[in-house]
Amino acid sequence: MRHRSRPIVLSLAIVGLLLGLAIAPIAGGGRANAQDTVELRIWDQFTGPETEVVDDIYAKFTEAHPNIKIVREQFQTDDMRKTVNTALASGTGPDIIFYDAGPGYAGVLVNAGLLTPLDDFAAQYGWKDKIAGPSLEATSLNGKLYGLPLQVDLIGMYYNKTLLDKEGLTVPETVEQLKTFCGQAKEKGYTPIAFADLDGWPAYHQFSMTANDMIGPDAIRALLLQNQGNWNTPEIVTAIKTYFVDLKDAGCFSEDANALTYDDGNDLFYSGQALLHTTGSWLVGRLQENMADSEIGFVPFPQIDGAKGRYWVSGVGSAFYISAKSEHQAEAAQLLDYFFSPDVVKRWVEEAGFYVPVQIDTASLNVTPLYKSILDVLQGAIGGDTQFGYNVDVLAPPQFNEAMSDGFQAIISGDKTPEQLAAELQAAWEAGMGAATGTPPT
Amino acid sequence: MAELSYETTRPATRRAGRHWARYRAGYLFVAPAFVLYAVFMIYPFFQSIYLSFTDWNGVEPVKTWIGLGNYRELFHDGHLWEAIKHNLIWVVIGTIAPMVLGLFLAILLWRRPRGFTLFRTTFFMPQVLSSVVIAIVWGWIYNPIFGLLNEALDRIGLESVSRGWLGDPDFALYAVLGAAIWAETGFVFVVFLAGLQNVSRDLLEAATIDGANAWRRFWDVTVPQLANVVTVLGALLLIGGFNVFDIVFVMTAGGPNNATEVIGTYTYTEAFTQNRIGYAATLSLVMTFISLVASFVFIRLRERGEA
Repeated sequence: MRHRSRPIVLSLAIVGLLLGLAIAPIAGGGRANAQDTVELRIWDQFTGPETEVVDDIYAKFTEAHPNIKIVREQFQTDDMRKTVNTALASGTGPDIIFYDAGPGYAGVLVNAGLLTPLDDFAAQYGWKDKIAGPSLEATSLNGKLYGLPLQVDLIGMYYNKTLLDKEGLTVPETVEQLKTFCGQAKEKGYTPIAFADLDGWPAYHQFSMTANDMIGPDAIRALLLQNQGNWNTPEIVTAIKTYFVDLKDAGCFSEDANALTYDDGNDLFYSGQALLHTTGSWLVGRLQENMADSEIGFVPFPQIDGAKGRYWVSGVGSAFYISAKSEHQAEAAQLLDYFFSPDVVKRWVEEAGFYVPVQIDTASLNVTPLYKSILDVLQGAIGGDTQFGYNVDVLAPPQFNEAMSDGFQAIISGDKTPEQLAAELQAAWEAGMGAATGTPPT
Repeated sequence: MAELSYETTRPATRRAGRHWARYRAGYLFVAPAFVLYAVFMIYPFFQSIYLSFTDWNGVEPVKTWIGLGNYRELFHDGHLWEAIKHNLIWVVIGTIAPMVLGLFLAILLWRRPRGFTLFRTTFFMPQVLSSVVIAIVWGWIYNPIFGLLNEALDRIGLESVSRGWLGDPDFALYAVLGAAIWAETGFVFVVFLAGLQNVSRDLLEAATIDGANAWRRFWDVTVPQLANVVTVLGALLLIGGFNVFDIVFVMTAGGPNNATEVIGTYTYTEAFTQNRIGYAATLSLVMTFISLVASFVFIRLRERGEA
């Protein structure tokens, strides 16, 4: 029998090895550390050049708090969205996440009871005095604060001042001027606006600008945060039509916009083929990298005839949240507070290129002129001087965003009218948010 | 002494005992693979069926049972029928085209002409690439500004044909399908090449003697002997056509305005963007069911044809 037992032993060994390899990470990860050391697991999305700064900031915190160890995992946005639900629900996931603030993301986690309300910590550390109100609104749900927004975006229109000066053109202030501008730019062989919508989401920002301009930030806020109002109105139809029909007919962007990726659009602007780029402040780093020799300006979207005003659009992309199942709530809050201490904020702004929604003295910062100009605009809002519009997609439910994504592509290809889309947007809104709870103040 | 203990056991367990004793090592060797299969295929399959009766959003602690609610929603879901339509187009064109092209290439190389190895390698190369790579590179080829396709069309005077391929709702699906056919033909070609080795030369000679021309020889002598190969390839391409996901997702993500949406991409968006795991499970079961039925019918028809 001896010669028969060897294959059995071998196969048992292999099975054991495979199972052991499978189980080991799970067993190892959940093990508690030595009594005094607290291990904070943080999942963030800083995968770009800012990652080194982030590592350093975490390291400095650990130096100041030797009993806390930070274990960091970085994710691309898409990967995080796919894994964070399961990770937090399992109870063995991270203590802190840096995650999208919208109803389809953090909102889902809040409704499942997986994130800790931060109001008590906010009172303890004075966060509500430090961080801009509108940004905190974006990370609150059902009247409770859940997230700390590290980064806000500003959406407007970049223009290549160097090229405009060279061609004797001025940046348009109204939509009528913009249409004329587009005609002139086309004649000179340029693509006026670097708009590219294969990815579907760039259109969100165009719509945010025109919608906020048409009905005003107060009405948009009422819709987004209080579910008061309606998307199926003549003003919203005009907002859709102005960008996706009128500007297209005026030749402002490529007919093949649906076939161009966001990166293609960026390349058009970098290479000087396009003169204007209607997008957000997240692009500043790449603009500085790719267009170091050009002077770039940033202004709000041109004034629409009959609109309530001409507004910058702002929104919170991602924020820090604490897992409700974390065993180290106090330490996690400590780390979050550290992120918003003045020295660290300065590092976020100067070294990582983030627009932190806190009051800072921009004059003392070591940043490029374009970046500083955007910071100044944002500081104006934090100080309460300027009113900003609200970026729609980060506060809208996923059904609405899908309706926007498909719908604007359909308008560009001529398969849908703005009237039809406005009605569809309202239907999608109701599907995601329930029927309206009232009408906004006029 | 061992003989005595055997006498006292019942016949069935005695057989089972001897079976196990003889094949013990085999079962144990298969065990790890089977465990993986059970954990990653069998269990999730049954869990999908369970989830399709809930409206779970992927993260709630409680999965609410809604019975046939998802299935009822399926029938009224225009988006799904749109996706199925696209899959049908994909299955028809994406099965016939690679088969025809693959067979054509295989026949060209049947007699091992000069450069046989080079051609065979070149034709098979696309299979070596990952579908994501294929999707990205073909995305560049189709790019309206710097893509090779439009550039080539312009240069030969066909500017009227060049367009934003992946952005045009009328052409996007066929553009993505074209890239997929390019990728699949190599596999079909190699399989047909192997199949042709089993085609009897004697029969062809006999046919030539009987006066059959090239087409008759091809259609009436060669093709029937490739029947099994055609069945296998057809079934694989059919199933692949209903399950297609990655190349569509990377090239267009189902856009523009759902012009390239297939069941696979729709299931993905419902699960991970719309947070509707329950409904997505239902969709994935629909996809499985359609693939199974289609390939079953196809194989049955082929087998009956051979009888």
